[in-house]
Amino acid sequence: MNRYLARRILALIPLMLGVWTLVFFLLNILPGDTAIAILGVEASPELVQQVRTNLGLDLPLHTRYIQALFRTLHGDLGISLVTGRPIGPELLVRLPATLEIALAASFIFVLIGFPLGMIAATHRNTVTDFISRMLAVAGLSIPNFWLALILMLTFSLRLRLLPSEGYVPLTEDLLQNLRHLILPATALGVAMAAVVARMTRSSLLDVLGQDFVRTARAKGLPPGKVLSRHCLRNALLPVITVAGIEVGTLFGGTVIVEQIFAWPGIGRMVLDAIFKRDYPSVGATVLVIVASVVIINMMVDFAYALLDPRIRYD
Amino acid sequence: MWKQRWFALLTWLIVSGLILSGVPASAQVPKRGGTLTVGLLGPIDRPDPHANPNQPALWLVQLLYSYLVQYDRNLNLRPDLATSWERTDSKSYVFHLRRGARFHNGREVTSADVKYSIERIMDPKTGSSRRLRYASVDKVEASDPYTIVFRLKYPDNVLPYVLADPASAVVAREVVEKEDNLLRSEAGSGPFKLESLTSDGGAVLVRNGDYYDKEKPYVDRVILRSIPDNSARMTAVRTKDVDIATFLVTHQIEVLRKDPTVVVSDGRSGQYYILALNTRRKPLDDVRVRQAIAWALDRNAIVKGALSGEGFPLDAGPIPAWHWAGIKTEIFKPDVAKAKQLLASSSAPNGFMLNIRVWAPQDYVVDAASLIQEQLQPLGIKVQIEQQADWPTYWNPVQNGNYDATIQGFGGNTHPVDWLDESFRTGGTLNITGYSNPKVDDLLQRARVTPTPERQAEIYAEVQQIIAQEVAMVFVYNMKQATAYRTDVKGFYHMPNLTLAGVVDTWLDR
Amino acid sequence: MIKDRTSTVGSRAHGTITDVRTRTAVWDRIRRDYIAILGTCLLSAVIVAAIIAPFLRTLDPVRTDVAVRLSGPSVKYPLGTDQLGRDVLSRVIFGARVSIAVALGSVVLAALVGVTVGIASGFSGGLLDEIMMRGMDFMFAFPAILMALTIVTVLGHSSANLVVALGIVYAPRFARIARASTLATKVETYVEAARSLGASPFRIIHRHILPNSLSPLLIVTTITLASAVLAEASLSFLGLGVQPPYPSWGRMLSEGKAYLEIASWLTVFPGLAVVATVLSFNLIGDSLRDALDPRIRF
Repeated sequence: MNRYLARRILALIPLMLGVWTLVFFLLNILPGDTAIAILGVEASPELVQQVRTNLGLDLPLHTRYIQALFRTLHGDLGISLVTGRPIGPELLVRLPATLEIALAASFIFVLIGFPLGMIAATHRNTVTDFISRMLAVAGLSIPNFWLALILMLTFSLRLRLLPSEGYVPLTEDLLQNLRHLILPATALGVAMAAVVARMTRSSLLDVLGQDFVRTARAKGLPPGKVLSRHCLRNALLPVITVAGIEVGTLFGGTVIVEQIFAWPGIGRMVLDAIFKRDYPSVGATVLVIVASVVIINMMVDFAYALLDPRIRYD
Repeated sequence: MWKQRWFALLTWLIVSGLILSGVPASAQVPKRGGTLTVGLLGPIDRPDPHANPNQPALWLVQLLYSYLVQYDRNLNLRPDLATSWERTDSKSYVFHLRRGARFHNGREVTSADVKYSIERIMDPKTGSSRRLRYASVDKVEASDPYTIVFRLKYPDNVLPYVLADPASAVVAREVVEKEDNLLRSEAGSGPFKLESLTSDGGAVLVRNGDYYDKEKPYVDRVILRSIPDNSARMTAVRTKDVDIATFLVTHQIEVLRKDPTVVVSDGRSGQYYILALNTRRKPLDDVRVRQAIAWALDRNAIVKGALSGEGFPLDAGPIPAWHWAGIKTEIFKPDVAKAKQLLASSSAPNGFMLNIRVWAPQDYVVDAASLIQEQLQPLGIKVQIEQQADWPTYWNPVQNGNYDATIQGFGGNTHPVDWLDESFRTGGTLNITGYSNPKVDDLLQRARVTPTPERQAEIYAEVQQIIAQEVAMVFVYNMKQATAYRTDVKGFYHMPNLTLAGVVDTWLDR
Repeated sequence: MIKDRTSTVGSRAHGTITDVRTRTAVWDRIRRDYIAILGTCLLSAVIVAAIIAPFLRTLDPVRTDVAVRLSGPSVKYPLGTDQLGRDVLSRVIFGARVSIAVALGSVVLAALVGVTVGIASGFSGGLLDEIMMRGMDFMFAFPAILMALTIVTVLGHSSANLVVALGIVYAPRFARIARASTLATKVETYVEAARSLGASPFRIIHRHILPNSLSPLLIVTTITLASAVLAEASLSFLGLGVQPPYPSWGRMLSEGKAYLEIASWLTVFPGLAVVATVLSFNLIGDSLRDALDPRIRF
C-alpha cells in the first residue's frame, strides 16, 4: 500500500509539470502582456517597453521558462507581476475559502443526492421514483450560475434574509461565515446532488438486480438489512467515483458562481490572473488546482479499497 | 389595569420630554473614532504611487501619502505639504514646505524628499505614465530644507496642477531604496498608515497620530474592500456591509437614490467616452466620413439606453459643460439627412464595413455600440461589434493602431491639459486615433505658456472648435460616477477627479 | 470470398442496436416511457423555434426602442424588454439557434475526434494507447472552463470558435467510452475468429467494434449535448462567444444580471429556456439509457 501511495504521488509530478508547461506556453500565445494589463489606456509604446523591462518580460521565452521552472522546482511559487507580492501566502489565504465551499457543497449533495437516489431505487416504477427522477433531472438541467442568481434575487434582494456577496473567515465570525456560505454552496450543491442521485439510483438498481440479493431476500432477510448489509457497499463505488469528479470540479470550475457572490476562491483567482496576464500567478494556481483534483482522485481510490476488501493496491 | 397603563404612558412622556429637552440643538461637532469601510471597484495592485498604480491602488495611495498641493472639493488647489507657493518668474515656481510634517517612520519631510520623489517620476527607468507631464521641468532645486524650486525649460501654467495629481506623492527615499515596491507604508506621510494589505485585494489603514493636521482624520481605521461586481458593491452599501461604495454608474444611481438609508453624491466626473476612429485607415482618414458619423449619432438615446440617463451627451469636446473650459453649445445634433449628404460626397459614398472593438465588462460601452450600430445603418455603414472579455486582447491592437474603431473612456481629468494634451497632440500618449494637426499642437503649447486664465480659456475653446470640426474623435458621453454612503457617514464629499480625498474629513455619527 | 465468411461469424453484433430484434424491443420501451415523450416534445419545441425564427417577421431580436426600455411583460412584449428596449421574446427564440448550433457542432466534433482516438488507442494498444491515455488524463485534470477560455481568446470570440473549444473539451469523454468499448469487444471470441480468418482491422472496427459501442456512445452523446448547452451559456455569460447585439442565452443572463432587482424577467426567461433545452436532452438521454440497458426488465 505504501509503495502504491508513493508511486501515485510520484506520478503526480510529471502530470503537474506537463500541465504547468502547457499553461506557460498557452499564456504566452495570448495577445498582449502584463504591461498592457497594468497600464490600461495609458499604454504608449515606450512606456510599455519600459514596464516590460522592469518586470523582466523582455527576456526570451525559453529563458523565462527555465528560470520559472527552476524556481518552481525549488518550491518557490514566485511573485505576482501585478501586485509585487509573493503568490504563496496569497494562495494560502484563498485556499480555505475554496475548501469551505467545496465542503459545504459536498455536504449538500450528500445530504440530498444520496437519499434521493436510494429512495428512487428502492421504490422503482412507482410515483415516488418518477418524482425523484424528475427532480434529479431537473436539478441537473439548471445552470448553477442561474440558480445562483435566482437564489440571490429571492433570499438577498427580495426577502433580505441572507447577504448577497462577500466572505467572512470562519475564525472571525462563525455565524456570518455560514450566512455568506449558504447561497453559493446551495447553487453549486444542487446540480451535484442531481448527478449523485442519478448515479446512486442506477448503481443501486444494478446491485439490487443481482443474484445474491435475491438469495438474501429468499432467505427471509428484511429489506432494510438487505440494503444496508449487502447492497450499499457495492453500490457506493461508482457513486464515489462520480462524487469525486464533481468535487474535483469545485477546484477551478466554479468561476462564475464565485464571481456572482464575490467569493474569494481559487477559480476566480485564476481567471483574474489570466485576464491580467499575471504569468507566475496563473502557473501557481493551476498547479494547486491540478494537485487538488488528483489528490481527490487518490482519496476516491482509497475509499474503494475501504469499501471493497477485494480491491488491493500494491 | 387601565390606571396602570395611563400612569406608565404619562411617566414615559415626562421622562422623554426631559431627555429631549436636554439634548443640544443639531450637534454637528465631528465625533472621533470608529472604523470606516469602503467598497472599491476592484483589487489593489501595487501601492507604489510612481509605478502606475491602478485605480483602487490610487485611492489607497492618496490616503497614505502627502503631496505638495492637493485638489479641494471644487478642484481648486489647496496647500498640503506646501503652505504657500509663488511663481517667481515665468520659468520658476517656488514652494514653501511646512515644518513638522513627518513620514510614517518618524523622519521629518524636507525638500530633499520632494526633489527625490519628483525625480523618481521623471526617471524613464521608473516607467511612470506621469513622466511626460513633467516634461517642462529642467531642474528641481532643494538648497534649503523647507524650500523647493522648480526651474522650467519653458513657461508652464500647468505645473502646480500636475503636482496635485494623485501619482505625484512625496516618498521617503530610504524606504523606497530598501523595499523597492513599497508594500509597507513608512514611505508615506499621509493622514493614514497602512496596517496591512489583505489577500482579496483590500487594505486596512489606521489613523496617523502624527499627522501635521492635528484635527484630522477623525476615524480611527479605514478598511478598503475590493468588490469588483457592480451590483454587489451597490448592495453592500445598502446592507451596511460597507459605509461607502465607489464607482456607481447607470441605473445603480437611480436605485440608490430611492433608498432612504443611503446618500448618493451628484456623480460629476471628468470621464469622457468616445468612439475612436482610426484616422490611419481608409475610409476613416476622410474627414467627411468622420463628420457623417458624428452627425448620425443620437447621443441622447445613447445616454438613455446605455447609461439609464445617468450621464451627459458630449458632442463636440471631451470637457463637460459644467467645467469652466467646457463648450456650452451643441455642435452636432442628430441629423441623418446631413450625415447621408456628407457621406455621399466622401470617398465612401456607398457605405463600408466598420469593426468596433469593445471590452465586455463595460456593459455601458457594449450597449452604446449596439445603439451606434443601429444608428449608422441608414448610412450604409455596416458595423460589426467585436467584443473581448480580457483587457490585453482587447487593447493590444488599439495600442498598435491595428483597429478600425473602439469605444473607450478616459478619466481622472481635472484640468484641460488632462483632457486635451495627450489625446490630440501629434504622437500624444493617449492619441489612439493617430490624429495630427500642427495648429492644434501649437495652440496646446501656447495655452500652457499663456499666463492669464481668460486667455487660456479662449485658446482651449479654439482647440475644441478645431477638433470638433475635424472630428478627431467622435464624442459620445460623459458618464456620471457616483459615490454612495450611509446616512451616518458625515463630512464625506465626492471628488470629481474620482479620488477618495473626502475620507480625510469624514466622521461617523454612531 | 473471405469477406463473405467473416460476415457470418458473430452475426451482426448480437444484442446491439444494429440488430433488428433489439431495435424493436428498444423502440417499444421508449414509446411507452412518459419521460422520453416529454423530453422529445420539449426538444422539438426548441428546435422548431430555432429553425423557424428568422421566418417570423414579427420577431426582431436586435431592434432597439429606448423609450420602452426595461418594461415588464405586456401584450406587445410578452416577455418584456431589455435595457435597450429590445424584445426579450424574440431574443430568447433567436438564442435557441445559437445554443442548438453550438451544442450540435461541438458534440459532432468531439465525437468524430474522440471516437477516432479512442478506437485507434484501444485497438492498437501498446505505446500508442499509453500516450493517448495519458493525454486524455491530462485533459480531464485541466479545468475545462479555463481550457475553453484560452482557446476562445486565442482564436477569437465567435460561436464557431466556441464549437472548436467545446469540441476539444468534450473529445476525451468520447475517447474514453470508445476505448473501453473497443477493449471489451476486441477480446470477444467472434472477433478473434474474424481476425484469424484474415479480416482487416478496418473491417473489424466497422462490423464489430462500432456497433457494440453505439449504445454507450449514444448515451454519452445526449449527456454531452446537455452539457454543451450549459457550457455555451456559461462561456457566453463570461463574455466569450456570440458577438453583440445578437442574442445568446448566456449573454442575456450576463446582461440581465445588472438589472436583477429591477427587471428580473431579463434573468428568469433566458434561464428557463436553458433549463428547458438541457432538460429535454437529459430526459431523452435518461430514457435511452433505460431502454438500451438489457438488464432492466419491465
